[in-house]
Amino acid sequence: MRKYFTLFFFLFVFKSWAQKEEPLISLSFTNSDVISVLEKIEEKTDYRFYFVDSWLKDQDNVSGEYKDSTITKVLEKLFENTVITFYFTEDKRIILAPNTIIYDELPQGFFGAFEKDTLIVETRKKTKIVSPIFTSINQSSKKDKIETITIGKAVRDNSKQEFKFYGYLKNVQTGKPLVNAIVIVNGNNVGAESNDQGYFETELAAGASIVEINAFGMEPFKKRVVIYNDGRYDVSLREKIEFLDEVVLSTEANSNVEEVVTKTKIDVKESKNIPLALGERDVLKVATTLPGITTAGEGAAGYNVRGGKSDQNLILLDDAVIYYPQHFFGIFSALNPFALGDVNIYKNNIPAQYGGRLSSVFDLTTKDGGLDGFKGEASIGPVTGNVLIEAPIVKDKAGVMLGGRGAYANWVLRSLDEESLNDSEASFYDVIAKYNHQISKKTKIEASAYLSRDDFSITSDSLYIYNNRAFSLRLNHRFNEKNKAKLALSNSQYKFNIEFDGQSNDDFELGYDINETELKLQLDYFYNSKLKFDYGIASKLYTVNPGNIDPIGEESNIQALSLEKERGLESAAFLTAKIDLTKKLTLDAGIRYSIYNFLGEGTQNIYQEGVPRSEETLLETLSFDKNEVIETYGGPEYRIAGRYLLGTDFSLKASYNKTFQFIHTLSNNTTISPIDTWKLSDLNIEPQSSQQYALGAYKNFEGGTYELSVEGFYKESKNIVDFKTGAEILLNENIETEVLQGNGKSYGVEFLLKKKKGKLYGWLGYTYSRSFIQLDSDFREERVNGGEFFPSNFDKPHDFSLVANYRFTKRFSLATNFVYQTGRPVTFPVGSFTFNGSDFTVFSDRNKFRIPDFYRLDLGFNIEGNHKKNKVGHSFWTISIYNVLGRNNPFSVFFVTEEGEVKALQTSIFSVPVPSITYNFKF
Amino acid sequence: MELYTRFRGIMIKVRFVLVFCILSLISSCVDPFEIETENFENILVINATITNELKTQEVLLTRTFKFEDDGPQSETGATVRIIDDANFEYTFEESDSGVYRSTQEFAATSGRTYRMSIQTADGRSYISDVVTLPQETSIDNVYPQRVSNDDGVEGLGIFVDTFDPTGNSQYYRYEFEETYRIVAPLWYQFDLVVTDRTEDFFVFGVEDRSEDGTVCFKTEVSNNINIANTTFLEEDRITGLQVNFMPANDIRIADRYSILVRQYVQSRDANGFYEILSSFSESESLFSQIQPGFITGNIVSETNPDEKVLGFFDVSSVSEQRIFVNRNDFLADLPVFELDCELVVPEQGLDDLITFHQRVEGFINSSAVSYFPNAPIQIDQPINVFSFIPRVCGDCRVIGKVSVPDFWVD
Repeated sequence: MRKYFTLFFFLFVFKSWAQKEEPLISLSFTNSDVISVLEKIEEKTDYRFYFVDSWLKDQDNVSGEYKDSTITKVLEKLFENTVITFYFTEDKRIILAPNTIIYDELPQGFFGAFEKDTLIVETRKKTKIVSPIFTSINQSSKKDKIETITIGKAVRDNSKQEFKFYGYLKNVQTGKPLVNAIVIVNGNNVGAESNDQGYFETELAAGASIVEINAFGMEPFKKRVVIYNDGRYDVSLREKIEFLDEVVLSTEANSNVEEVVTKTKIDVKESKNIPLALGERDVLKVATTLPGITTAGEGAAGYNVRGGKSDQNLILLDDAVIYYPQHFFGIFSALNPFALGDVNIYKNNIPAQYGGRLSSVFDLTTKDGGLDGFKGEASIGPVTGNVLIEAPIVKDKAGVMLGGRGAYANWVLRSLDEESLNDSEASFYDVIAKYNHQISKKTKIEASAYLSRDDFSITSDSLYIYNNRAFSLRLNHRFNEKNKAKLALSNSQYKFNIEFDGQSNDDFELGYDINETELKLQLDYFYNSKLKFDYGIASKLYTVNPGNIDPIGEESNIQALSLEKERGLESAAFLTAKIDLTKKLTLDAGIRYSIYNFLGEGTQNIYQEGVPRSEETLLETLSFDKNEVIETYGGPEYRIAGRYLLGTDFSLKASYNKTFQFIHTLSNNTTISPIDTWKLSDLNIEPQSSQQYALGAYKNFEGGTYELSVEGFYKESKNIVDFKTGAEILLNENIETEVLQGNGKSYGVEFLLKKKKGKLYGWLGYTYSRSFIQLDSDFREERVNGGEFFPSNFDKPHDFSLVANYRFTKRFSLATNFVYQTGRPVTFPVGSFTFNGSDFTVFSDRNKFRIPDFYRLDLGFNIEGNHKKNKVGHSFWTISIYNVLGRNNPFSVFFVTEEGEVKALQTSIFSVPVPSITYNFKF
Repeated sequence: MELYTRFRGIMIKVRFVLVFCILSLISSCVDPFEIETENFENILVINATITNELKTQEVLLTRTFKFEDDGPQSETGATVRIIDDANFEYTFEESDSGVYRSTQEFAATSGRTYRMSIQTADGRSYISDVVTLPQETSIDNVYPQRVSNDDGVEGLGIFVDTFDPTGNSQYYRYEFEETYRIVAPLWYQFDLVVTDRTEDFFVFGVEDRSEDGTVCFKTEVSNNINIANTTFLEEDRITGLQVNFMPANDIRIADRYSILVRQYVQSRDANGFYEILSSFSESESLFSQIQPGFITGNIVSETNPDEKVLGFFDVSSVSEQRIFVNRNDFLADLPVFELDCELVVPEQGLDDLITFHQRVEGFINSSAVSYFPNAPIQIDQPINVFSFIPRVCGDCRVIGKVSVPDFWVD
């Protein structure tokens, strides 16, 4: 019978409603409490009250006697000297609200801006300036016909043209005078305001004038005043209340302008609308349509962020590192889109709590499962099937989520009537599980586990397998209003395996794996509204098996070999202070001090100084004991960002960022592959480091409908790892003899225009950027391109993307995606030569040429199932055509010698339009 | 052991691409295209392998060439010398254009070190690293075996076993020379000739062919890079390394076949050179590609240290073995190489006699066909039986030579 109405701490605006139809009631009570009175009214009428008990519990001694009275009258009397206001809805509900508390939170001028559709409220409690937007305040006060009053006694022969109009303003509920109310005459602000006592005075022209009085938080007063002489009119105003249909709190409307550390946020939900190859949703592919994040090509794995190599991104899934988040060489994402909650990418300024990679942090978190009861999502596409289920464990407190995705390519391959393909195999799957438990209001724990696996075989005699595994356990605790902490324990593993089972006696199995375990404690200290600290410590232990080979079968004469394990400890302490220097200028100043120890046991080669490293210049091999520190690297990493507001929707930001990276992928391929290995920094291979300077301007238009940003950056890196031509990497015990370390340099300007609302929404991004590498040395064999800077493999100066969605109705929408990029650099032969009877190509300087420019248009049509309320599930169809224009975009070029002659070949991944249909189901 | 080259990056064969192409309904993912040379660099190419065989050693000097050109320009007029650690100089003379032969026969010997020096006609000088003769290891066994290749095609594979008990050889390179016997199935003893011509007609006769074109021999030299190493093996032993493969219907294995396999034990550096060369030229990966670059050999320019020089000077120990294979011992049940020997009969039709005869003369002069009468003819009479067969069916000399090679054993 009693229903509770949840209150937002922000505001309640109710609409007053005519009480004409109110039934008349009779009731009497003495020394009663208010709640009982309300219950009595509920008994006698079909009106229902909505309130919170605590508001009324002080009023436990009220008396009254009413006969044939309206409810309004009763309530007015009942709440006469309280802060409670009431409101009748059209469906016979009466909503109570403690108004004064609410008003405490409202800023000056709040109601002054009330006529607009959009209100911007600043709340003080939150350290971040949030700007809630109330998008739908469409039911304004009921407009009564303007009432006419007469003032003053008409006097014959009055020659005066103006008369004094004065009176007192008071709040009808509290009886208090209303101060600073504005008197408006015929729509003009005549400069009259009520004073401290609520007294107002103005002049009115003889005859009729429309007088309006706007008092803060009160119903407006508007009357036709016919004045005959000076006269007094006292006005009692009701507090203004308005009922909101729907309150949409969009706290981040201006976040892109206001946040100090710019992050690229990927809307996981929206990603389903973007057409992708073979209908596979890929949240990170969406990221590549945003400026500054690219891939080397359509089928290339890994991301290049602001001219950085693809091993320079820290990809975190619930705080655990994912080394290779892609299936099938980068064509598909290995992260289940149904499981993801938030995806934030830091490419500008990396918060000090993150470290270990130079270019960016991809911070992915899974959503909490099972809090809204049992539900699930499933999809069937041409390549994969995907199911995710959420189930509650403890109502509203604990839940689990379990998702699985698998490709049925294998089945397709086998069913094809093509003999040569029967031996081929390509399959993958990924599984994700999460348990979240809100133990108390202050404490929450989350456990996540992730596993992905790819199997593929190219020839009948070899099988490649690669795996990601990640696990994390996180504890969030709020000590008090000012302090909170997060403790995270994570473990990740990446491994691959190659099995070779051929005709000769050399069958083998080759394996690689990297394993890391991290413990991180992160604390937040809210000093005051202008100063906030984020600090903590983290330590990570790496264990790498750089490669082992074992014979398969009795006959194999492969000698088992296992390269020495590598171990490293990467530790850091970090502190970030977020300081509001002025209202407009905010600084996010962070420092991270990283220390890396390369640990024994193991051996390290010492080479002669001043000559290229090779087996000939090897001086000695040192041995180290277990846990002995072989080498230590590290230093401070400054992460400083500043923001200056030039209005509520316009800001300038600048940042400086220094980063270290202690592990490197070893790859002599032009793009990364699943069998690239990660190597720890050691005595001979130094850590990479980078410094980035960035400056940007951010502007929102039309209340956040449009967001425009322009960012420029300049980045320099050191000790980027590269290789001598044709280096042997797998199972190389002296890999340092093949490694070259050089400098990187990149710069660019990124434009992004987003339209976030309306039927047509999407974004348009354009980046002009360059990325260079320099490999210089005193020795010719260690120099590439004469020691000069040369374009990196992913240097694509022009990068344009347009993502546009048009929603016809709630059920039908059309999505388009257009990409244009400069062709990536390739190493092209400068001629050919004859050797041992065959022709070969001569390669000279690296990356002097480019493949043709890349462009592609994709279209998608989304059909949502009907929106009936009571159906079991909700379905969603996506019909898409990838590469509508059928553009044959070359991905790479290569030159083979066949029958002694050179043949030039180019590959492309999707050279014709690729249609697909995906079916999604939610329950 | 081609598997070791598999370590080098990920070798995703083009065939795999097709798998994906079918999956995604894509017609062609790998397309050939015409290359045009841009920024051509004219570089000296040195191919010099000195062996432990007592013979006239050979050094080849060429230059890089444009894709549009037919072949390399020879580097002529150079002075080539090989100097050993006792300062003994072996001089070379240019015998053919770009081919330099030692003026005396010599064999590289173990315990000696060698280096090569070259002065080109334009006055530049080049010098190689110092190299030594590696372990001498002889081929254990060369043998044929019926196998299927990666594409599932059945045929004959030629395999090599070798073993070095000292474990010092480790790096091997194989070349071969293959010779096969061809039998022309429709050998005809006579050629058709024009014996007389008038304004209205020609007179045809026959003429004895100068030599018997029934049985010929064709020799080809390997042109692929075939290297192997045993560094990952328990012992320095190679078992069952395939050096050559012929599909069952290949002409080479249509009758009798012989192969001479030459095994070069080479230095680690030379192995590295060949390995890079081969990995760049057989890059079949679709999704990731080996970063190509200039392949540095062991020869540098003394005149300008920054000048690029291609090629390698290697001293190698050689062992060779020859085997003979009869097709029917291995592939008797499989389809054999078959010539298309359909008869071509020119007919007069509505033509004048002279026009027809001129056409017949055209056939006589064509290298594509040879005379093969489809009716009895009178040898010393004018001939009026005109019919031909593809030349290869009637005369194996279009493929090989009739002279039996010295080594040939039937």
